[in-house]
Amino acid sequence: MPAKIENNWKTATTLQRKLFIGCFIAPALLLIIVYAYWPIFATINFSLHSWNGISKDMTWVGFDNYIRLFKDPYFFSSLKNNLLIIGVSLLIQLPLSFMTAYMIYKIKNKWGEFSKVIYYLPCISTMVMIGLLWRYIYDYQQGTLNTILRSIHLPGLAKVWLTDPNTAMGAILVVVVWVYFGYHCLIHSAGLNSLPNEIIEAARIDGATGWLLIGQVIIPMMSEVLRVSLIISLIGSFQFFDLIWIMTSGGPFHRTDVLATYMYNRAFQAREFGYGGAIAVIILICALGATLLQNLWQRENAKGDGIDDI
Amino acid sequence: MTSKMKPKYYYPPDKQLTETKKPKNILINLFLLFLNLVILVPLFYLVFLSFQNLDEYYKGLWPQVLRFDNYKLIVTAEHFWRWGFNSALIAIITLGAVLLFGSMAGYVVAKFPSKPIRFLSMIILGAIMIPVHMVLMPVFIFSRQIGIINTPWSVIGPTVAFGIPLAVFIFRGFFMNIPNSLAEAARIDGASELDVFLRIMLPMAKPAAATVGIFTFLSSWNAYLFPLVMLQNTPDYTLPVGLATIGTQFSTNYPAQAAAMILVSLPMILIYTKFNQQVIRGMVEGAIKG
Repeated sequence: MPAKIENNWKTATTLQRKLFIGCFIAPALLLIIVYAYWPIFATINFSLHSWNGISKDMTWVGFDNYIRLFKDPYFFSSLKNNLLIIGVSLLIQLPLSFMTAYMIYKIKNKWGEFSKVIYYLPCISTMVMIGLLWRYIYDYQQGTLNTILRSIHLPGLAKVWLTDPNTAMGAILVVVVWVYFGYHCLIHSAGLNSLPNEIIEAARIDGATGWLLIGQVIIPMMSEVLRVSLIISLIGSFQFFDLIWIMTSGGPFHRTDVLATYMYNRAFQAREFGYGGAIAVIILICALGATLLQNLWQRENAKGDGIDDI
Repeated sequence: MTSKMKPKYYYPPDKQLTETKKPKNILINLFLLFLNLVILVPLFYLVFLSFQNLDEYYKGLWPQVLRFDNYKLIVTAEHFWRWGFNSALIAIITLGAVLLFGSMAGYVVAKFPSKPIRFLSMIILGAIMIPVHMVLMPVFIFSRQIGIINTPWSVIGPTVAFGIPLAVFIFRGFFMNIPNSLAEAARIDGASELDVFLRIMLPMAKPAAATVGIFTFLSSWNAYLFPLVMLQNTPDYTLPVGLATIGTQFSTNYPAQAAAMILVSLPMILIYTKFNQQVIRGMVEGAIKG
């Protein structure tokens, strides 16, 4: 008899428990499905139509938007700018922030910790402010940069930095590094701090110092963190919008457009939801490609430290 | 990175090593100082600009006195307080919703692992990979159809949805480290599942809540894209969107615009000075999941 009673009690709790679990996970799940997953299919649907986003009639055009995409020079220049941002993060930002994080790791003092907090400062400000600030710095008449150039008697170098097609993208890339340098520095710093001291100490006793220590011991152990930092640059590049939209809105003549700003321009300013949808699909493919790359890479050196994929 | 991940001990002070390292350390310190200046000088330039009057601005002079005229101009400007109210409202509701739904889902995912739950958690955490631009157009159309466009709700919805995955991830990690014995003891004493969550688990998750909360508040306050798309009447703007258009209101008055930027960023700077460790932890954990 007692066993049966216990059994009853147990089934009641499992039912109650199931209800509880369902109620607890439902709101999060519902919001994510409504706002993140369902829109993917809607966007794909848009991209196969011609639509201005307002009128009732969506015209089915098949793959016309994608064919147009591959004939559109502005699309390719936007894609090129995305790749440029990735290139700069890879070749300038990543080494610089790793080097800085290593220095902070090495000196291990309050000053280093303080510096990290300061380096991350641009990232916690709204990008609207950062973009406007740099617009002032690049301003032709009163901008700090031109004022400095004039005061050191190089007025010939003074430029309309953000509207000159030759300098606009370069000027933006400088800001990109300025803003995100601290972000990557913090990631590398967290990675360095979680390295097991015993191994570094042992390597040191074995005579690995200086560059040998960095190249043969630290970088291999940091490969997971460096990979994360790299993937963030990749995915982040395809989500890049605020800064460029504030600084140039993609101008002059789409010279500084990236995929995200070009999509916004097409969809919400030119009112071509179909074409904008096609660009959005390309953004998704690029982002998923980067994620896939990450997973392949992760599987390859599966000795990763505790970063499980669930 | 929680405090327990800090190195347990530092290198034993080795006199010889430290002495030969000294000149190198000075170089390192100087380099870090240089980078500090690279970051800080443009930001201080903004402060400097906000105290100039127009005459000083055009002549490029230092502000002669500490004058707050530009700040007065901004706080009395049309819509400024309204925008501030909108921003605060959106940030606070977003914060509450992300904390509530994130902790609930994170708790279930951590403490009731089963096949279906694992599958659902994969769906939730997988959303981190979805670029916001992908969803922009459908969410805009959807919000218009259900008639919430131009209201704070049209921004709150997607902001909460895109904040939840990271929140679930952080809460999940935290709840997994809390031993089950406490909850079991309470259950034997007759506590319901809801009691266990509210009375035992949630109070222990305060550090995770702080990390998620500060990070969510910051990113919601700074957000630009969704407010830009969803809010189309000037009085409905949030501060960042208003800031971007303030150039039309004070078109040639750069010092006044600078003052506006300082005022918009000030709350975040203050939060950051107080809670920089939580902000950084939230960012790093989000990044590692990336």
